[in-house]
Amino acid sequence: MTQYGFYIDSSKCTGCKTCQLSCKDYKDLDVDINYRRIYEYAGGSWQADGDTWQPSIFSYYLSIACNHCAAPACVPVCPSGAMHKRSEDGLVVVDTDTCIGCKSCAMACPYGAPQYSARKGHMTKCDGCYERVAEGLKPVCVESCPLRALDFAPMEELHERYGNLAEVAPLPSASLTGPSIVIKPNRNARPVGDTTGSLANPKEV
Amino acid sequence: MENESSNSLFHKAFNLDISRRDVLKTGSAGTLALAAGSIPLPFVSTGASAQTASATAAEERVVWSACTVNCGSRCPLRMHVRDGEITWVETDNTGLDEYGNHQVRACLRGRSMRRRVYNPDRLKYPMKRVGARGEGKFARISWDEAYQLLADNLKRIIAEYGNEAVYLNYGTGTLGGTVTKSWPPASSLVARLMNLCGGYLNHYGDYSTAQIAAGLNYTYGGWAAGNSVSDIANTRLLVMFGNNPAETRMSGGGIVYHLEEARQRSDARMIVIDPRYSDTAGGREDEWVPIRPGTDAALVAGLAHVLISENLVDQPFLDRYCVGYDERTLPEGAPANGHYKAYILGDGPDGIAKTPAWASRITGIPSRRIVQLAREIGSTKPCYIVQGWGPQRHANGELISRAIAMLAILTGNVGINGGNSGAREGGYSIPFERFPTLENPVDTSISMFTWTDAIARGPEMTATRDGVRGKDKLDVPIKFIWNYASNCLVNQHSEINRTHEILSDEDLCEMIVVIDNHMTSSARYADLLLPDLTTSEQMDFAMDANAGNMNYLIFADQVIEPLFECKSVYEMCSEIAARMGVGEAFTEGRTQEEWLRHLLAQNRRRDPDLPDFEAFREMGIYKRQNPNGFFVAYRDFRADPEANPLTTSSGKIEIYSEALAKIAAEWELEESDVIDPLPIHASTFEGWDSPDRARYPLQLIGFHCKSRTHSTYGNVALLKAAVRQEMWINPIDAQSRGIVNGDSVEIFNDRGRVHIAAKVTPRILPGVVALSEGAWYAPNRHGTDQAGSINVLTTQRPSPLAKGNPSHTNLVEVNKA
Amino acid sequence: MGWHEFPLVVFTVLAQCAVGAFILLGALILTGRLEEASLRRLNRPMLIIWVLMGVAFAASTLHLGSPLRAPNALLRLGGSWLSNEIFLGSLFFALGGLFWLLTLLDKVSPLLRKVLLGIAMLLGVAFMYATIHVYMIPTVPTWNTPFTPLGFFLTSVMGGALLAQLLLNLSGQGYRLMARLLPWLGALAIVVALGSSVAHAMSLAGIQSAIQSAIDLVPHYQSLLIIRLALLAAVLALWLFALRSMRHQPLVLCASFVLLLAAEMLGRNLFYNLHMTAGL
Ligand SMILES: Nc1nc2c(c(=O)[nH]1)N[C@H]1C(S)=C(S)[C@@H](COP(=O)(O)OP(=O)(O)OC[C@H]3O[C@@H](n4cnc5c(=O)[nH]c(N)nc54)[C@H](O)[C@@H]3O)O[C@H]1N2
Ligand SMILES: Nc1nc2c(c(=O)[nH]1)N[C@H]1C(S)=C(S)[C@@H](COP(=O)(O)OP(=O)(O)OC[C@H]3O[C@@H](n4cnc5c(=O)[nH]c(N)nc54)[C@H](O)[C@@H]3O)O[C@H]1N2
Ligand code: SF4
Ligand code: SF4
Ligand code: SF4
Ligand code: SF4
Ligand code: SF4
Ligand SMILES: [Mo]
Repeated sequence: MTQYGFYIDSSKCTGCKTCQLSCKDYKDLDVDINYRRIYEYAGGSWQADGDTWQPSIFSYYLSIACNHCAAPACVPVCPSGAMHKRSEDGLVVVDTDTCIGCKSCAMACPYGAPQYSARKGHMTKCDGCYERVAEGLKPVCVESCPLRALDFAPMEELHERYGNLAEVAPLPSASLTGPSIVIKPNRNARPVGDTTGSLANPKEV
Repeated sequence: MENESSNSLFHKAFNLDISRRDVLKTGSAGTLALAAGSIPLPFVSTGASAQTASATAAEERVVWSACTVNCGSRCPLRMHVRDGEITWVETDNTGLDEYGNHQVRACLRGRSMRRRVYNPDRLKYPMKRVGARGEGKFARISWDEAYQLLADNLKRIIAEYGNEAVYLNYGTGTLGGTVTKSWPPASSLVARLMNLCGGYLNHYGDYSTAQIAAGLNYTYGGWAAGNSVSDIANTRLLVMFGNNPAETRMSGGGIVYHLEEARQRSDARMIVIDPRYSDTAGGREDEWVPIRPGTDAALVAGLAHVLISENLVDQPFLDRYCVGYDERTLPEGAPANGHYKAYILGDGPDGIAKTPAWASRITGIPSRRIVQLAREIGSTKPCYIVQGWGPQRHANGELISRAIAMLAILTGNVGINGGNSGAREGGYSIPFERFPTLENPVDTSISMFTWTDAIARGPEMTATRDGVRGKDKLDVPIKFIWNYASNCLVNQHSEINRTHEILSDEDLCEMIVVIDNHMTSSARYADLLLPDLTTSEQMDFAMDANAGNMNYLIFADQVIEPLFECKSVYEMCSEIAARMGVGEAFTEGRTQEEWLRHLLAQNRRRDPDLPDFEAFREMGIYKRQNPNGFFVAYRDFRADPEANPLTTSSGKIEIYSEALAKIAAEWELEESDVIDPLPIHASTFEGWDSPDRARYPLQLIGFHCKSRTHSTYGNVALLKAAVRQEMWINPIDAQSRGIVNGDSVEIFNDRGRVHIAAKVTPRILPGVVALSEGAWYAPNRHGTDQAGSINVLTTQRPSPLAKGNPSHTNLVEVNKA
Repeated sequence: MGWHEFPLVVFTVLAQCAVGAFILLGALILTGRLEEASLRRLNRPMLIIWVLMGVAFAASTLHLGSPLRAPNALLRLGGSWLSNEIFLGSLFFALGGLFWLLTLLDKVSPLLRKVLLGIAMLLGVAFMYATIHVYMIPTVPTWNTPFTPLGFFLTSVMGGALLAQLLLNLSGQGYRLMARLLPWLGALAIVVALGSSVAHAMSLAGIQSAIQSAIDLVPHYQSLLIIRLALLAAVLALWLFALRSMRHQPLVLCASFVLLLAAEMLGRNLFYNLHMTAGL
């Protein structure tokens, strides 16, 4: 099986959210559903010195969709088998004809990827644009990034080109689900498990 | 606002008709299938099969279009269309995307164009006002009635007050078009129409660059050019003053992309000077220097002190190319010790040495940092010093913009590769002759910012007090306003509550015509409301991107049929011209498409490399690299200043400006307004050191944000949710007010009140709050804005020299709401 | 605190009470010390158990986005604990119900019925076991703790004992050994519940991801917990009171059970509101 995955260059990412919106347009998503979410992680403090200020602060963005994990947390909990990992490309996809809308997958995923659509009555999620991938195209979000901060390819290729990092704060440890991602960390990046910062945009993700 | 998400979008807003027709066509079986499709049955869903069925039924077409808003970028959009309906929006996906021949990728807004075209706020028919002005009550009328009403009033007002009572308001809604171009208003079809009817009151300056355009005009002569952003590939140090291309030049073929690519090539260090830790910084900077708003000139003076005292200035450059650095080049008429060096070293009239310690108290930047920064800038060549337009959109912005340029001048970085003039980054554009809009017989001109005054007290406005040009004073007030593709009538102009008062008085301005796509706050103040086509509904050429070394032209084809009764601005102006008796002169017998063919043919005569109409239409985007490589501002001047003088009166870079000395002596200025021949630091009203801080302790700056282009796209629910409108506040200021992240707060001063959520973030200097401009003004019953529209809080008091908008100079207090 | 998982709250609490009561009464029946007449007298009020199970299952489908596809929930039997839970729960419902019906109609031999009863009891245990595993998700640190099985088990014991007491009481079998043991069992469970809730609340302080802390998930968690514990104390008081004054025993036991449902539903809702993942 070829396992496809995303490359996420957080050093380039400006948090512009084009990837998120291009996906929402292509997949015709409702306002509250985000297959791709841009997390802003920020922290640090300011020291006053007389009339002046010295900052020691940081912030950076991470664009995360579904990581099409090697050991997905969402698949084993699914009672209908709707949430499944495709053998041909390793993409984790919801069979929307089968899904009963029990939300178990959403409860289990540590990346907030499955998002329930009350209007549709079933779970929805990034499907890796598998139909495009089958045609030899890249996912819409990847092609849309103005900064070229995203890529999508078989994992071996990504590892070869970009290394093996798959976790930085505020993501969970990669050991949980084996996310199929490679991250180029931002200069400000904090290691996984860091709690010195906080999620700066909780209502946007 | 209604939610325009997917289904509701099509059904609620427009496709009701279409779906009804479909149902009739397919008969009852189809209706049943449709109904069944919405109920999830056990085991299988019929929704999916219904979808695939319709997918095969109608073929999908892809049509090139464009996003033509005023964001400083420009992007092609590849519209996927089925059954006459836009299904999704793609962008340039041609070629291999190699830098230099790269794809021009739309930003989040362009990708949401479908939701702007099919927006519940779309204007559908011509309407005339029936309630009080601003109340938003309208009655539907026919196009014929609308044209007649307009022509009658225009004729009457011209007859009664003369053409100088007719004003074309600043508006940038569709400045990227050719036929549809709304900015500069003098290049719009409305201007062509008015020029055929005796002319109109001009304006100069713009909300974007009023202060820098006026300020650097005295330094470099005319509009100050900047090196191509691509030239950052050739620099060693990049110093950005209030420049945030990550949010203000967002196209994937625009400045932010070039910045990223160019920096990868040079690996130049980047220093970002901004009160906010912007997205341009965001971990890409080597150093962030937070600065108190409105104090960049003080920082530069402190830097200059170090440069001069440590002998890091480029004296030969200053001697040969500049006027007024020291006594050697000080003009005859200038006072002794009136030169820059004296000002910095404390030998000038104020007697204060602009030491790092002096600058540090004003800017909030530790002296040690100022010294380091000066040494780094002084010893790293070439150095690309660039300013965005945030620093100049202040009450002392003319001085600030000139001061920042001083840094480039002192270090001799002007006119060389990898250097810059200190102005905003430049680039290359493909020369393209536009729609001829003819000459305005009227010379009189006001600053674009002072039109509300020109309504309220026009004849009192003079050249030396209010910056009236072309005449000593205005003769008549503004009585007729064309407001085409502009939300500056209300939302984007400062001090909304004052604007409201002036516009509410129907005896002052007698006729307001708004041509727009959406029911904006400006549209609500129209007497006559004309629904325009969006770019998707008509054919045009789009261009005018800021795009480094590779620029492009876009064939923005017609994607869908016009919605409702909307008509193109070309058709509107043609019809009105006919009623004004200049129909034939206006159209010259051409349709919109014929004009486009004609313009392209004309341009091809000059520039045979341009594709012909059909080929252009097919390729959608025509790209071209700067044939001369990197654009370097003032390269020729640097090479030979005598042969290629600047357009300043001395032909040189004027550090000391005699022209400004004269203006400073002659103009009537308000208290605390400063015009100075040197680029000095000056305090302003509502600045960091203003006594008003006792009541309003926080400096409020605006910024341009990613979810909107000004107010355009501001009604797209998806974008509103993706980037929430919030007021940035430092945790230190938040804590002392009991505010936590996400709390609703009230921002207020004497001009108004705004309710919005707080973003408590370390990304902003303590003592400063920031609110992005452009949110759709939404007052409640008490007039408190609920949307975070910053112009409720800004002032209409203009800057001293440019008479421009000091949008980022405000003092406010913030409370938990 | 949101109530968005209310269907699951109802489902788990009612099912746990029903299973608990069924197993306790089943044990009484299996001892064989009930003569035929008392067995039949007890069997009638046991209908309440199946009513509760019916309500529980009906509520559970309300949790689904596509209730009409509910049968799909069984497609991953053996693989997904939710499938197992639904399957075992249904089987428990079916076989337990069959036992009840056969007893009511006095069909098939008593021995066969006892075998059926035994199987149903085991299924009840398996059902509870599956429910626990549905929530023991490794990526959900606030659920994947011993407090989840303990809490679910205690609901079964407290609710089961009280419900069993009520049913015994309704069938007029209040003086049996079982009926005398039940309050002790209930009291013990309630005391353990009081203690473990406090321990649980304290354990939350140690659970956090990069972006949220368990203690911040539910505003006023402590006050809500105190309300639940107070309700449980009231349950116990009423229960013991009912056993002393024989006059309105069924009514008071009923009231006590209603209070217990309220306490456990509040507790269960707190549990669902404590959902967070180890990540975002
Ligand atoms: N406080 C504060 N105020 C500011 C600024 C600031 O920084 N702070 N910035 C200022 C600046 S730099 C600028 S440039 C101005 C911009 O101010 P405006 O030029 O008013 O720009 P927009 O708000 O985008 O409004 C454009 C209008 O055009 C309409 N429009 C869009 N497309 C079309 C079209 O195809 N046809 C027609 N007919 N209409 C169309 C939109 O609906 C919208 O109403 O705002 C200024 N105002
Ligand atoms: N997404 C998006 N892009 C846009 C627009 C938009 O509305 N939306 N508008 C377009 C238009 S018309 C224009 S004119 C440009 C505007 O472009 P700019 O005027 O450059 O943009 P601003 O965001 O107003 O200011 C730039 C930066 O200056 C900082 N700043 C403010 N005051 C000061 C100061 O006193 N000193 C220093 N050093 N920094 C300061 C702000 O924090 C901000 O980060 O953007 C264009 N691009
Ligand atoms: S489009 Fe690219 S730069 Fe923008 S948020 Fe997504 S990944 Fe980041
Ligand atoms: S990211 Fe979440 S939804 Fe996607 S495969 Fe991993 S666990 Fe499943
Ligand atoms: S919501 Fe659908 S996909 Fe998710 S676990 Fe339930 S049945 Fe599976
Ligand atoms: S891969 Fe496709 S579905 Fe997934 S986030 Fe990107 S565009 Fe959306
Ligand atoms: S708003 Fe500007 S950057 Fe975004 S798509 Fe339109 S033209 Fe391009
Ligand atoms: Mo602007």
